[in-house]
Amino acid sequence: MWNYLVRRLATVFLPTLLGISIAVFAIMHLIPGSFVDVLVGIGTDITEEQRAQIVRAYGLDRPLPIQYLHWLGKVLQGDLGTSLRTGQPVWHEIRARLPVTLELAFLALVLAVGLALPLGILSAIRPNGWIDLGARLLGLMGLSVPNFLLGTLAVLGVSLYAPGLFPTTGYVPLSQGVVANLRSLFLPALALALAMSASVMRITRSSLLETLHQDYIRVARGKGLSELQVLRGHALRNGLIPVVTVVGIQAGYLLGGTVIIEEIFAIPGLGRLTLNAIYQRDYPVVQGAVLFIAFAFVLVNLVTDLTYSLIDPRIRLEE
Amino acid sequence: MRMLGYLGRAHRIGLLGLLLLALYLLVALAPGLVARQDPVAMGPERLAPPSAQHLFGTDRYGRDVLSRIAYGTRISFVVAVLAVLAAALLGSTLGVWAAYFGRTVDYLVMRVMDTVFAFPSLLLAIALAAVLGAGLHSVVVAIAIVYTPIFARVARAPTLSVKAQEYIVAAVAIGSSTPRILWRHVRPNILAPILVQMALSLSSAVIVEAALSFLGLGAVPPTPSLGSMLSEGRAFMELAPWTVLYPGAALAGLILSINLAGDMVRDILDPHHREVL
Repeated sequence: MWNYLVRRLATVFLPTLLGISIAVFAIMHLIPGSFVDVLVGIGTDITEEQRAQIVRAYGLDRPLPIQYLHWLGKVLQGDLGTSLRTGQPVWHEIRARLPVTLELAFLALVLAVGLALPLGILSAIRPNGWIDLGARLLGLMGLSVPNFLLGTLAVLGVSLYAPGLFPTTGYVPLSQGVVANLRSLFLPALALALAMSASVMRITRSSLLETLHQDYIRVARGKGLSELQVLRGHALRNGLIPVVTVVGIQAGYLLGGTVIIEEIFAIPGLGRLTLNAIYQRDYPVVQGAVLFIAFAFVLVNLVTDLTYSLIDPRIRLEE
Repeated sequence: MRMLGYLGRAHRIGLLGLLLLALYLLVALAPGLVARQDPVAMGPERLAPPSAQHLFGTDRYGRDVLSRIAYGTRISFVVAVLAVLAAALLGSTLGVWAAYFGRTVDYLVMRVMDTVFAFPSLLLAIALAAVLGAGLHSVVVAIAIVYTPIFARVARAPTLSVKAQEYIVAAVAIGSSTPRILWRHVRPNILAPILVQMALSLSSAVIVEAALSFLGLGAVPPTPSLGSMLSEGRAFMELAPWTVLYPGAALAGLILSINLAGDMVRDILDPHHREVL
């Protein structure tokens, strides 16, 4: 296990992080218009001398690789720069909004898996039964209705037919009561969860269905085990392995999805921070936030990998 | 024939999707068939409910919602198809090169692909679209970059196994040039998985375009896009639900039809994937 972990870290995790940092740095240096213009505000007149001063102060006159190494060194020390708009360290801005996004993503994950696993298992046990048909219909819908459309429709539906049932915008912090907090996050979490639950449900169904057709399942049934024992002892453990991967991948995508959902529901999380920074051309914040989210995404994928190898020891042996 | 019979039975819903997709394609090719008004012409009737004059009502500038949906569908198609084509061309070329030339090329190409893959796709598309500037051409480039690694991976694996076949050794022995080998022997073997992946990526591309336009990072007003129609309609949607409901339904229907048709393409080209029923 430890060998596997170290090998994964060295061959995949670290090179990917390095690649991400280069990519984020490069993207931010492709910005049309010069950094100086963004800094002083476009249209503001400054003398050539002032311009040269700013360029020197930010180290913009040095070659790009040097600038990159300098930036990377600061990032490794936890310094992501300062926001051009608020003057706050970017890391503080991120840290203040992180819990909100984590809570939203976690709720969406719980909703999605809680909905998808039972549905997927039930429809695999009785293929073409009415639960199966319903689940498959829901799966098709979940993959065809983008989360921002679902979120918009949810806001419309609640405000037209059930005003006050759930708040359609804004966030109530946990400190103001658990119920109020959960109510404010319910609609956004649901909008985020549907697409994920559709993917998880589909993979649960098809993987379990395939497992149930294996010879060892026939043997288990043949030796007289009840269906429940077959499921618990043999089918689920094997059939759910691919589900772990999909849950992991989708959990990573939740991080990206929060960007658009937080915007719709006006939730002050990491996604909204990123988007507002993009609108306001606050590039240090964009850079820091994108770097942070990508880092978290890679971390989630690593955890998925490890979970996978814990459940299925064959994966460790293969490499 | 037996194959067609199988598909007919297993894919009644797939055929339905194909039919729906054909309808959308018709609208995309000839939006004038459905759109009776200029999609960007403002009119005196603002937020008018659906009527004989405006079947899907009008938006807050008095523009005909149905006409905007028709032209928006065309934009969804054009952007998604161009982006997926570009991603498929670039990605499969890189994937084939990586596998065929191996070693350093393989390592470098695949590490770059892994890096792109390591971002949540929507976030990367948002960042790229923001950096490239507003406009649909940026959206095409952003989506193409985001989906390139998938095609590199899909092309790499079959190339590796083809490369080890004896007929490649034979081709090298009789003096075939590398481009000839790649074109004559490798390309036919990787075409099917690439086509499947293209069909599957198309619906994601439509979603990402709509998402970017929804966030104001895609189509520039007054260009009609299903995504920007949704976000523009949100401000008055309690008053004029049709400004959100019809574009939303059109978008969901488009994605659904591509998904259904894509599943069908996969079943035809990749028999391993046929779901056990």
